[in-house]
Amino acid sequence: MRKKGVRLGTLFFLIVATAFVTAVVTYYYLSAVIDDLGRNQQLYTKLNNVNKMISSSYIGTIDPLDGYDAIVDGAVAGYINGLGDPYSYYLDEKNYTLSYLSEDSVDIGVKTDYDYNSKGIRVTFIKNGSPAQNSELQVGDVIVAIDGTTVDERGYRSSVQRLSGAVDSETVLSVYRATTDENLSITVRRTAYTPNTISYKLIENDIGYILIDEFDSTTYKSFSSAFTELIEKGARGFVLDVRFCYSGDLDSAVSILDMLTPSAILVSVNEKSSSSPTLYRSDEKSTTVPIVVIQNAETSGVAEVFSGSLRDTGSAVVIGEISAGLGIGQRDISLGDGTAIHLSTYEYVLPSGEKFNGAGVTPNFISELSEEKKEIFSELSDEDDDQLQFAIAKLREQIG
Amino acid sequence: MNKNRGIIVSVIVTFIVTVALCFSVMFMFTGDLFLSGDETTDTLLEKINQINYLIDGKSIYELDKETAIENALYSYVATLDDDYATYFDKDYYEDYLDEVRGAYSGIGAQILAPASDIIGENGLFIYRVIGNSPAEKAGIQSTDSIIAVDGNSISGMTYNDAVNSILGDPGTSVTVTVKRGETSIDFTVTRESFLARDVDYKMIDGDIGFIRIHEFSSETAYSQFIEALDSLIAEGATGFIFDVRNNPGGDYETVVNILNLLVDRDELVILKYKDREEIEYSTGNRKTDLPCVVLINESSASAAELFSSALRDLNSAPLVGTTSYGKGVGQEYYELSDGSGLKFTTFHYMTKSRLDYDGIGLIPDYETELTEEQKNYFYVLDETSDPQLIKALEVMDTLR
Repeated sequence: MRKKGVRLGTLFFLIVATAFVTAVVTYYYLSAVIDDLGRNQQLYTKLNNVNKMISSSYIGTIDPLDGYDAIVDGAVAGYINGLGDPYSYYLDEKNYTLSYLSEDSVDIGVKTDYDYNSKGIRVTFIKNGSPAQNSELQVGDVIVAIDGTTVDERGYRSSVQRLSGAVDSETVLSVYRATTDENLSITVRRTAYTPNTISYKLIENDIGYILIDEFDSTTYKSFSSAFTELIEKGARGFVLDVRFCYSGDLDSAVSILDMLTPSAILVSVNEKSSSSPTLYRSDEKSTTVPIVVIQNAETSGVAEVFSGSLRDTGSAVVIGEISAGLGIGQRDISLGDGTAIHLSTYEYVLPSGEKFNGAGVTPNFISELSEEKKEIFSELSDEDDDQLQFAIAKLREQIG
Repeated sequence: MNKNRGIIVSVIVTFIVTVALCFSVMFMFTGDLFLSGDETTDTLLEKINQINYLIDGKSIYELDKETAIENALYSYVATLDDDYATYFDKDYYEDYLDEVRGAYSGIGAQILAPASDIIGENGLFIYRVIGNSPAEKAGIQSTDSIIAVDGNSISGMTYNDAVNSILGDPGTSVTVTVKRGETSIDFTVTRESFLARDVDYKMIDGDIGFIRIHEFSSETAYSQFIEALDSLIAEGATGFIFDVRNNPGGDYETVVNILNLLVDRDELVILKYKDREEIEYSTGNRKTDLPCVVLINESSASAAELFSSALRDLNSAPLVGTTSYGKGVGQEYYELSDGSGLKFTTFHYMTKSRLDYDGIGLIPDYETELTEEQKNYFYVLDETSDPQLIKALEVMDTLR
């Protein structure tokens, strides 16, 4: 009897202990999952309700092949907007494929932004030697339709991609030109071209002037040969012009910085996902000629890293306007099903520790250009270019 | 040994049973979180989970979950190939319900959007003063132009700034200076929420009852229409001209109730739902069998077209004016548990002749147009200056 009592007691204890342990383990394991689902519970419930309503009552049809994908794409694209980051977006399968195939096609050589008023693509810059330059297209033109499809209908980003295409193909652009209040139809032939990202000249016999339109894989090579050539022609100081220069390749900018800067940290990149920043350093070799950099409010991204780094290491004097303040960078992160998110994942930090995102890089000396002159920037003569004249004066203080 | 083995076996069995039971109970409470049963929802939730994880780890921006979810649902519904489908968040849904009721807030002056975003010396042209609005009560008239608000000239202001200075919280007052002809008049208007007068009526040409229906709002249009009809019948009307020009539509029940006052018992509306067809019969309790003519234009839509098409089919009423908008599909709205809602197309309808005008519009029996100037002055035109109304009177003559 007593033995049985002990046995029953032990058994009872075992059951309770096992139940307790199982409950704790299960709860611990599930809670991670439940927590994750719980956060999406609201979305889950609503989506399910909306889905039920639509599938029972919607009079139209949803294409079984890609209609549902479109719904998922639409919802995910909307969800990403909750970041409030203008540079992050969702890439559906088609656009993601386009984004990595685009290297095979030819772009027409324009920089653009979105024009809200006419719901079109405004041309802000035309590259040297590009198909756009060989066409009637002008800076300031607003492209409202491409090959008959309006930008409004297709969306800005996707439309910009449609400007590129196979070598030697043609595209017909419907363009609004505000200066003459004209609607034009402009045909651009996408001939292959090597983008010429820099142009240079000698000013007043001893000042080398180099204009950088963009930092791409060819820029470093063109820059260093232009630099050498100008020195051979007698340049004793340089004006580097990064006005209107935006986007570009960090490695390209770093190579040029390395050439101009003695041993120093050039820039660091803080990845959100990594605890230690990636540091870009310069070796001891560097040029010794005095340099003045001109930037303006349209200088952005990698171009700001360029001027900010030169300012912080003391390798150049920066003049002009406070820059645009795009100090973050994005990467495409694959979602594994052929789609991706383009996400802001890192921030640039200048050698002084300054983060310029939102604030812009402040030049050593402010020098401005009137709106009227900005509009005709590409046709401005050296004499009329107040910022260039200011840069030359600053350089003269050093080279006499 | 045997005994021991028995104990070990029973302990193991007890252990397994307890674990299984415990796990089942836990899962029962949480299991529904894992099942949705819908492929689209599952795919989407899976993606959103993945995105949450990526954003958490990599994005330098924080995700505002609330906004993200609202955006996702909005985009989700917008992806449907349905021009009239919309997702409403809670606030927007309340506004929408007010709109269906016929409730407005503000001063009740409809402004003709100016050609330029910057307001010129002529101010803002009031196209229509909504019936029963604070503006009407104060004495402001259609075709007055607002030139100053609270003593400040609006010339040179942007359209949005000017309109925002007129709008404000209910109960507050604003002084509006209008230009009427050559004189300037100040009106003090108290902003309030109000139910619009949807029906205006008068006797014209001696014995023709003229009834203009601005909108088929659920709370106001029916009772106001009865009042108009009774009053004109009592005054001895021998025919009716119903004017649904610029009437954007409204509530389905309301237009059916109004039609019941005018038509004999017959097939009134044929409704085609996703899974069934319904025929709505008129009640046969009409108040009048007098001849009628209907005025329509390109802005007569939805319920206004149903009204016109039914009167043409059942009362042989000629349509005068220009081809209508062409909306022959209807939406139902569904409220979700958290106060948000959605509407989408759930039925396609036509009247007895089964003429399908969706996407086409009703073609008038007598086509008469207004000039652009007459359109701007629409709400002050009368039987001597309105070519469409003059035509309707001519047509009426042939009916009596």
